[in-house]
Amino acid sequence: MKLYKIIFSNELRLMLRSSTQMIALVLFVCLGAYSIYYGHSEIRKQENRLQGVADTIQKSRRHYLEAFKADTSTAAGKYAYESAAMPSLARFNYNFLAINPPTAMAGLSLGQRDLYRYYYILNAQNLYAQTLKGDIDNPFKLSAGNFDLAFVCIYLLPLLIIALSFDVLSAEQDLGTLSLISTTSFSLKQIVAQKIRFRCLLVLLLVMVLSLGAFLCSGPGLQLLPAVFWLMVLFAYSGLWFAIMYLIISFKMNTSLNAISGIVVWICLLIVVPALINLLVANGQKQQASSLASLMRSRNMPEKEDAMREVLGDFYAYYPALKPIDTTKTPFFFFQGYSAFLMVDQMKSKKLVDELYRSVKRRDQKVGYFNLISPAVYSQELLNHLSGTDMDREFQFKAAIEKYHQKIFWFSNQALFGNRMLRAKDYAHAPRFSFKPAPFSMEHLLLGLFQLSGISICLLFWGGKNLSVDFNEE
Amino acid sequence: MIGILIKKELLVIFRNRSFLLTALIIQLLLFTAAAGGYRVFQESKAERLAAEKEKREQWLHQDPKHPHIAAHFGNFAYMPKTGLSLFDYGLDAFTGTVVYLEPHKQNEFSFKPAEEQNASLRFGELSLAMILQLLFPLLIIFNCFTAFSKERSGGTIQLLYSQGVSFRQLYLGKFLACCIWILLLVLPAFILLLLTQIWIKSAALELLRLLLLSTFYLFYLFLVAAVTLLVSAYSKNAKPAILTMIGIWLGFMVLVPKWSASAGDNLYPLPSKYDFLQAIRRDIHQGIDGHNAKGTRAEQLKTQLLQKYHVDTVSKLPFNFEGYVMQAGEAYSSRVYDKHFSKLQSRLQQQNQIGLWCSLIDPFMAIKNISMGLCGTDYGTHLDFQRQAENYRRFFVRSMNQDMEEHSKLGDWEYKVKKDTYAKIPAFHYVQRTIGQSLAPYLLGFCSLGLWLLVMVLLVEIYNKQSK
Repeated sequence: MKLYKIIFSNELRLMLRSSTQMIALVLFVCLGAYSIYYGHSEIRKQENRLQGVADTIQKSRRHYLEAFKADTSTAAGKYAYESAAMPSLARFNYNFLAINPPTAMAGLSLGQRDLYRYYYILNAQNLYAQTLKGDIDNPFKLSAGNFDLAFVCIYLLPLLIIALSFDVLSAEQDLGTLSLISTTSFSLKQIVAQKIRFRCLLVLLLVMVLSLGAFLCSGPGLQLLPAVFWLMVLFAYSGLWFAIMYLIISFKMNTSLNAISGIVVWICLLIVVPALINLLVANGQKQQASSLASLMRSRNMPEKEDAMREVLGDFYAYYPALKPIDTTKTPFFFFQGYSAFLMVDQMKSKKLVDELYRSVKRRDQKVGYFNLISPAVYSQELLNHLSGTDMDREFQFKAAIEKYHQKIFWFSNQALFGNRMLRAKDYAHAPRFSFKPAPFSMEHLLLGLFQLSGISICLLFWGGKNLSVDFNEE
Repeated sequence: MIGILIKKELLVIFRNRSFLLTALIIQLLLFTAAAGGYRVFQESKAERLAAEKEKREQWLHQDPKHPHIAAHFGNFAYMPKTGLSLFDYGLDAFTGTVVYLEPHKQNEFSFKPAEEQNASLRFGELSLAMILQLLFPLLIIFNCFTAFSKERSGGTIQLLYSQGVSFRQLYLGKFLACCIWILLLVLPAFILLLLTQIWIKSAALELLRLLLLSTFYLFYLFLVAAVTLLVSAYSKNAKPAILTMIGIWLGFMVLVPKWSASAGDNLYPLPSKYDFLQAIRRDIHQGIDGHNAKGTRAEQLKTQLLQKYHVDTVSKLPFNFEGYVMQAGEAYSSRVYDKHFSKLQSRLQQQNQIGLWCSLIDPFMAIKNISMGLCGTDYGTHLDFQRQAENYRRFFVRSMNQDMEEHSKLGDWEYKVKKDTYAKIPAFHYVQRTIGQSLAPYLLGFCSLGLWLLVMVLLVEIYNKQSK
């Protein structure tokens, strides 16, 4: 026990004296602090944007409600009233907002949130004509990625671990103190393990401090369980890198070779393996959605009675309750025909879009098979999952939008097919978007933690076996 | 003397088993990247051509309808992949691949390949460019960082100096030896690329681009070797040399590019699409509504035309007034779009300018930009494509409106174009930029490479004087 304490205090002293390691530590803390600021400023920007859009939509909604009290004896009043009361006009002009709000932890790992649209303004037009069109963004920025805490932990933390531990044993060799250590009653394995333990504690403390700082900035919405799992994922990931370094050290190479080996492993796990998987498994550049371009097209149909009756026939097959007993043409007939056309067309389009989503999920699943050899990507995925910034959340949002769009369609079309005008009461009960994403998958996270820890244990066992062999025996 | 030094260095490096192993790995990666890039290129090309053909057929075979309604059916512009895009994917995963072209609206690009992927794509994709930009410098660093420290610890450096060899000569010998093995290792990458270009029947212009690419990459890699050798010379032993070089690599290749992109976004934020479209709508609202021939601005136009043609009613005009108003509205909205889009483009330019300035000190960013520019996968090419697609949109909408103006009568919305009118609108074809246009935005990058060369020569001279 006493030796352990001596090693601890000695390591601390040596670290404080080593300018390289101190620079690495300070740099890491500074970058970590910047990443927390960056992540939260990005989310704040998104929240402000959402607030701005919500305010504008709210304002326009008020105008619609006020239109029912307008003086219809004036041209402007009549126009305002008709815009609000005519379902054929309101269906394409009265806007609804669907938002994917950021979770409290989104600033820690922005994930795919910069890539996907986090709000949509919808009306009763074809859903895909509204959602498939692109957004304003800077491809250069998207390609560079985000400087968030997840980036610092996934990319830079391993480098800090390498910088702190590459000369754990070789420094003793270089200084000639290794033979002195060998004379103690403790084995080489125990001493190296204790030195690594010291660095591990230091790194975990750093990770904890940075994460707690980020949690504090996250505000009151932060939940305990995702925060705890965040720390657990980072601990498991750091543990894996210490296990890798332990294994490298166990080969008893010189300082430079240890450093190079650490860097080579970092390059493999952070660059080469993910890049290879993206190229060979995921077909990264391969575009699956371009065939869906037609869905963006403006929907138009012949404004002829026959065509209208045909499409209404198809529509009533889905909604028989709406089929009128009296088949005489009402003033809304042509509008009903177009709405029916939109709905029938949407059902056809949905099949194509669903197929695309299925194939995207299949590809994602295929990439997932390689998680074991790509722990960095896997850890990033887990952090994104916890922060609600992964593809899974995007799919949930898209599913919620589809459901909401159905309500939007029926908001004006209920009145249209009922051959009546919209009323202020209808607007008071206009559908509101509620998005309750599923909580994070405990199973997914536990499996991830199990895999990361499993690899670490295997590496530690291997390293331990190597270190059990004495220098002289070799 | 330099010849002997080169020979000795080459002998040492080719006897080094770990070098041979890493060189082999790099070659395997290069081959995989070339094969994968070729496959992706062919698949994407086939898919794009099929989609383009399908959309063209849809346009040609639409029912006879009113020209303006036909224009609303719209067209699509698909971004073609250049032959060299299999070398450097650039920003292709993050720029949309297709844009829907319709009257009254200038749409954004849709379908970014990255949207269909999870976070793994953000880790990058293996390409020939990625290997040469990121991994090859590491191979150079790992094999050169001990160049001088080894001589120093082995005492051979003093021996060489005592024989009259100057530091300049020693450095040059080591540097030229490095250049030779770099050339030998990089050559297969460019031969592979050349073969793929011949295979896909790339134009002669692409071959010139390839030649330039290989020249710039070699220059970049030689620069990395020069820096590593110099750091090795200035370092007391191998440890600080490798730590410095890893630090430089990490800073230049990971941190600076990421930071510059974030800083650009923070300093010059982009508007939301909603705000952007609202602003456009507001401006258009003040102008001519193409669908409303009775609006105030349309009434003013009517008065002008009646005066010009000396008639008292629009029905006596030699053309359909509604068609004329439609096109006037389109021209007005185009002016509004031009104003707002040019504002947006200059904002994006401001964001990316930080990256361009960073490339002055960061040769990695410099070569990255130059490489993307030459391969046609940079933002400049995307913008150029956007411009050409927008011109095409205006052309086909104008043609359809003109048909309405010339062939239909006032109030006649039953008029239908003949089927062959659709065929008169040619399919969209993107004309690639010239090499000069592709490289013009990256002049700072060239300055960077030149600047580093100058600094290297200067530092070698300083060390040479100190060592005497």
